[in-house]
Amino acid sequence: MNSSMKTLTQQKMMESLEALDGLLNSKVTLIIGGGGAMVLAHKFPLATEDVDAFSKGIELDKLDELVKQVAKKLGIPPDWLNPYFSTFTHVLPSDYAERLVNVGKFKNLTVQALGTEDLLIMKCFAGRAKDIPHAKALIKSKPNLKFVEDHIYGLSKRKIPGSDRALDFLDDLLDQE
Amino acid sequence: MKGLSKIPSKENLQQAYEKLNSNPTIKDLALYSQWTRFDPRLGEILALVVSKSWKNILPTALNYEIMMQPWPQAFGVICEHAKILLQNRDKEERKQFEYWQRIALTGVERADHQQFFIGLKSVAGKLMLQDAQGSLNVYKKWGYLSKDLMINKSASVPKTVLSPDVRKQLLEQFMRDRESITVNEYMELLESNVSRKQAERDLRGFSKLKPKGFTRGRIYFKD
Repeated sequence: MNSSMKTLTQQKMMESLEALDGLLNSKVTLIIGGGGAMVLAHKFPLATEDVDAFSKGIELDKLDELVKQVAKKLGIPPDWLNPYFSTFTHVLPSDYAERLVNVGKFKNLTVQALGTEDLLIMKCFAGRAKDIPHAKALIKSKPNLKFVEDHIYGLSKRKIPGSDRALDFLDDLLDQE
Repeated sequence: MKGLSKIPSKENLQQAYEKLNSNPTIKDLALYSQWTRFDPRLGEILALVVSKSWKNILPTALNYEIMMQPWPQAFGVICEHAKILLQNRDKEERKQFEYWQRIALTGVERADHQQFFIGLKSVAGKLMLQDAQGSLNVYKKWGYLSKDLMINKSASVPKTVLSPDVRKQLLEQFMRDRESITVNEYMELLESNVSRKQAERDLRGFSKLKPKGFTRGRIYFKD
């Protein structure tokens, strides 16, 4: 597989989402996070391997079918949309929907991205070296850092696994500012 | 590929239930362990099949199939459930199962603090947070989070599947706005994920509580 097929540019992502919209016959919302959100909503110039997203208004297996149809049509990897990202979203504040950023509105498909603070929270929990540039970029856009810190601290008090490590990750980033 | 080549449909799951009740192959067992992340009922059936048939399953062959799957840890979770179902067997048999499990899960690493079930609960909702906070050991051991045991209630095995830390934390939270608690209330709080004996030990050992009475209806009051 050549490397250009492995990564999705902003243009390719929008093309894929539009193609997905073409296959829908009822209203669906996709909420994206990770690298896809960084590119489409937060103007971070990178190409990512896939689009992390969770959906509303469609069953997972049905969405999966359509994602694979889009992949075949556009010659992109069959897992260009990653629905498993939702398994990490227990760390999000329950009011994340208030900070969603609009990415696109098609005929049936609405695409939104997680807001800066919520993306930063997820990056802290992911805590990998490759998350550091994204996290730094998010911090540069002047999010409500107290909100982020208080939320992760609150999770730590509730002994949510990974919270202490997420706090350390955030502290380390802030120390470098 | 991060996940399955295909997320199972309702029809796929129905076929899996039927296959598990007839003659599943090792390949089926490995694949279905992945599908349990979308369907707890499938997990119940698979755990039961493993608990009954493990002696007829070559663990090295199973390990090969498990390692081909995107989430090999999911089979670890199934084995932990099977262990609960084997709790009433003799010590020697349970030990043999542990050896079998060790071979079948060779090379399988823990997942990274993620919800075990996919697509069943509202994102960032109360239930997801409860899963993270009160996660059962059968999931935590393999890096997953969930408080929903995949064991049919009719199996009725005595089970304590919550860690002491989690039990203590839940009890402390519960007692913040209460003056007393009974063993039944404590077991209800933990959704019966603790044996009655362990529940009694927990309440006796909780320093902020003092028991009153000597029968099963004993009440524990805040000290």
